[in-house]
Amino acid sequence: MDAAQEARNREAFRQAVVNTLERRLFYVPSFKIYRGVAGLYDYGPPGCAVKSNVLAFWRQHFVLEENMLEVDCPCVTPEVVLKASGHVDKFTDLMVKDEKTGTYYRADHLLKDFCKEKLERDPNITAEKAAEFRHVLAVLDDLSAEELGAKIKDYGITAPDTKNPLSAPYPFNLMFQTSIGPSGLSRGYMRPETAQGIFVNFKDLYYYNGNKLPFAAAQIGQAFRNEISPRQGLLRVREFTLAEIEHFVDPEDKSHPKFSEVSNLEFLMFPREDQVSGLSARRIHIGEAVSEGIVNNETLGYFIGRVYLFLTHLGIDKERLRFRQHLANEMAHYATDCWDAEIECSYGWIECVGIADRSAYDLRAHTEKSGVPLVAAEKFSEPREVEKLVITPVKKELGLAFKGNQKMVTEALELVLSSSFPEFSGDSVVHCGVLTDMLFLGTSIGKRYARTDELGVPLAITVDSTSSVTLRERDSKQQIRVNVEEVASVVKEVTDGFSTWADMLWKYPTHSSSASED
Amino acid sequence: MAAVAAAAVVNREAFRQAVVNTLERRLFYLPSFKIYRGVAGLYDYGPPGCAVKSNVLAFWRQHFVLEENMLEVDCPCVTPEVVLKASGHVDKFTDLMVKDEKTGTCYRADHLLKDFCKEKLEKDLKITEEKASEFKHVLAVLDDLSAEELGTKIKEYGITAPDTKNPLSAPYPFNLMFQTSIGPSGLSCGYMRPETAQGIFVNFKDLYYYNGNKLPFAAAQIGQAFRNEISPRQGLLRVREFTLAEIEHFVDPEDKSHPKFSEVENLEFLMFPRQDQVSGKSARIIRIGEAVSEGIVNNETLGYFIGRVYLFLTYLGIDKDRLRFRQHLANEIAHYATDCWDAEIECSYGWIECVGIADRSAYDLRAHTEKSGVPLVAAEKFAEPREVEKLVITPVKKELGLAFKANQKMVVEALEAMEEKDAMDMKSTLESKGEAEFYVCTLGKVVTIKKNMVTISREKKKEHQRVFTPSVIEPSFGIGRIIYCLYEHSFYTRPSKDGDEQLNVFRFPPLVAPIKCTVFPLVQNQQYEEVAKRIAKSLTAAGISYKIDITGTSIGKRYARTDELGVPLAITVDSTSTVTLRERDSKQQIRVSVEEVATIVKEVTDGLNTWNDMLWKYPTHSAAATED
Repeated sequence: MDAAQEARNREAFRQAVVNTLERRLFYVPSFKIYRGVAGLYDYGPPGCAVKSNVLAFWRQHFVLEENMLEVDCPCVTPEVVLKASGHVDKFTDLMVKDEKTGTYYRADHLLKDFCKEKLERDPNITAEKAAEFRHVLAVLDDLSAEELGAKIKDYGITAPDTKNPLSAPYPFNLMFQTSIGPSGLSRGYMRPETAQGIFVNFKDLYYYNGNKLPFAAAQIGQAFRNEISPRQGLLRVREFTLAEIEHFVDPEDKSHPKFSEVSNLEFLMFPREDQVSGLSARRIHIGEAVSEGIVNNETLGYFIGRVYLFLTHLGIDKERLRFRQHLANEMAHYATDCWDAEIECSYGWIECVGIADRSAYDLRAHTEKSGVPLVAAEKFSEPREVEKLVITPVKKELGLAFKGNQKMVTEALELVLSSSFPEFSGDSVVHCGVLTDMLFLGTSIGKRYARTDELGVPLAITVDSTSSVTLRERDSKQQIRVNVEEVASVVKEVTDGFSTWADMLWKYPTHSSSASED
Repeated sequence: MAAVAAAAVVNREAFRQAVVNTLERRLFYLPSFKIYRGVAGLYDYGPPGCAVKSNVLAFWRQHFVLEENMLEVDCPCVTPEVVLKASGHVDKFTDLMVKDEKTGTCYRADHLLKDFCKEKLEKDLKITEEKASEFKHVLAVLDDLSAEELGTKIKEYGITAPDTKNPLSAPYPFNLMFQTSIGPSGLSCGYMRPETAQGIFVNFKDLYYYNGNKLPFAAAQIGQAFRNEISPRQGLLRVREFTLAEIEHFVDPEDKSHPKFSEVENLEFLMFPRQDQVSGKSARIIRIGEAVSEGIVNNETLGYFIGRVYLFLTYLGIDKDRLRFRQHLANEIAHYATDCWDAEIECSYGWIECVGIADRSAYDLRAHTEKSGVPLVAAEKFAEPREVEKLVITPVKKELGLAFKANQKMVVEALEAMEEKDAMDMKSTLESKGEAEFYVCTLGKVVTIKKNMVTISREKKKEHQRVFTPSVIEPSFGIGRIIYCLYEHSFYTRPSKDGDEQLNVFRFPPLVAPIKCTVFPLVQNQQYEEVAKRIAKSLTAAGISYKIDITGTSIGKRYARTDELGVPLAITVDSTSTVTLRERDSKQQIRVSVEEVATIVKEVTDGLNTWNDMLWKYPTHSAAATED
């Protein structure tokens, strides 16, 4: 099948899914009666139920299982916090403007679309050109404003809606800005991630944990990104729910006591080396990945394994789930290692969970900005004699040599040492959950089944006598007869996962479906 | 009199300080961004506070959403201006503010006036009877005062800026929504939602369809809401960001009965009807069934929700003697609302509004219908088509245009909007006199309508359905306020064993408790720690949240520590076969086997059995040996 045909199939499939989701109110564009706002969506009743099931399971699987400290911080965040974290200066996307209408576009998206379009739809393209476009797609995230601008000019890319010329790319900060209090002097932002609320509380949380490492804090909450031109439906939105874990650990000991519980898991991984040398993702045993140094440390490996279990328990297809390591150019300079759980869908491979060892970057940044030391201490049972590096800048000489720059030079020489930790963050991923709904309508039983199947309801009870009823499983469409008194507990056993449908098939008489299915 | 009031204030403040200290020390909550000296009105929930909050929300979902089959939705916080323009928030969601004329610090005008009057009443011993009643009057009408009236009072009393004693500006309105800009253009103004309700209203059409085009039904939403307070105070009670849980129950305005009303009608609790407030009486215990049948509460659906809210709050552990339902006075209630009751909880700050239960009539749906042009209506299909006489008003635009020029549109709209009676009056006047006087409110004047400008008639029509805008009954819960009041109602202190210090306890019901159970090995040894781990595993399997404390501190200290977190049960491992189970409030202990203990804890915390049942069933254990 050629690339164009494949793209059409993917789009048709997506359209079928999206139509069902919108028609059954899993989600709807927000403020629809006012023609909506791009990138804002509502979850309707079934979507809301799926989301709350996913979050409840997340809490069970991570927070309760690992005794994490859950916190709940506000979305409104004062500027100083996000200045320290780097978001005020660096949380930007490059934007271009239609020079006549003033409509904005993401510069990288236009370039990406152009290259993809050429590769997928232009049959006359030379092999050389094709290789060039592929290269552009591969390095897209690395291009500077100037490089992007040059490519856009080079290819003669114009505004997609009007074909007007475009401005040069310039950075746009993606945080929603606001003002706290009535004075207009105190600037704030809607948080772009929930993690900062945890970092600034490190001292209190460390104390709460009995001044012991390692420990993890977790937070579920709304985060915001003022996208330039949102697209890809629910995948790129302006407001979303994040569930983040910050696991704080001694940088000298990143082992994990429960690593053995996941070390035998095998799944698709895509290490940096393989990406660079053009190989595909392959199945790797997580224990090996850690022992061979593909994954930097046990704690990182433990969380990769736990994320795999989380996603597959939810119903994500393990064949379309891979853990991709960040390339050297994708990773922040301070990070030790970073893996994304990517899930394949009609839009391609989508980053859904990021698992990063961020070293001591964030705590150091807040220590510096606030002047409050966010550090941990390991008490020795016996005092130890150590040789210690002592750096004493001679301010007088430095002052003479560097004048106005003296302070910066002094600080660079002194650079504090503190604790280190990896961070785990994840977008919530949505799949099928459990709903109960009563249907009293007089439509045919076949239609009613179709309606509940479309909501993903696993079991349906048809009341066709006063003593026993028919219980039908969604995917196999198999039916069994159960008496009225027992049926609730049978449904509970299956939906709670204590028994499987196969157990029930064996235990109860099957029911011929020909009579009732239509 | 003033002296007694002053003493009560001192006591209240000391009590509050004790609660707040415990809450902050144990990380139930803490000021947000503390290392940067914080932001007024923003708080974080730490681990136990977060657990309490999620227990309260889970119970809310159970008690309201699941019990009534409500349609839960989840809408964004970022809201475009047009939505909040329609709802009235852009124009009217304001507080009056005064500014310190030298430093520029802003204060809420009504707070300054309120503080001044309260201070005088509570602390000034020389105040005259007359002055006292004047201050009391000001406090009573505080919410009604206009900007001018507030300004006059502030001048008259010589009120100055509390921090600097500088003079104050005249009061002026400040919009309480956090404003932002959606997208990169800077042209699309947005706000952080001040309530979650609007997200439900704008989805009415889809939700009605989802419900099979049937009324009544309710939609619900839990989510963050925002208020850019001028000068937040009162700790967790007045904050800039908070969790709301709101229900919008849509009902036919002609039938507000509720099929399940009989389930709550026999509940009795403190109510404070409008009449009683005006005539200076106190709140009294009323049976909700009577309140509805006597017309004190406007309708059954409103009464049903009042009863359900009462059950919700008392199950959580709110003291029923410090909970009352107060009806809004005529001057408090929005002009469109039919009736409104607040669940108020008494705490050290006084009676605090925690839940509002309002019959908002058709106001919100109509406002969005008008602004968006999408009819948000319901239809009742008739089994048989009905013949109805209908008023038909047809303005003759040509004639009206000639007579009123630019004002034509306003006149046409006013004519079309006439009520049945006014229209029939006009018809007869036009027939007898050839013209009629007509007041056009959008022009603010009376115009003359001539016979050739409008035809008015009654026509018989067959109708197959009745189309109407549903009424909305809205219970709206301030989750943070409920939780703070719950903290105060649950807190008490008791002397330690040796009597030399006061220990803090939260008597949370198991439903709310952040942790259900703690496990202590009596002394640090490997055997006991292994038993503790075995018990921990069985607690996990039973789905009970627990905490193990293996520090070597005395068992008395460890009990004190878990009591302060409100943990209802503690297991002390003092042998390898049986353990001691202790209840928090009574401090009574029983001996149970290691195998059984998780099941017993589960039964008690799930409410299947009480602690008393267990006392009767298992041998009690003398506390003397372990408590210290």
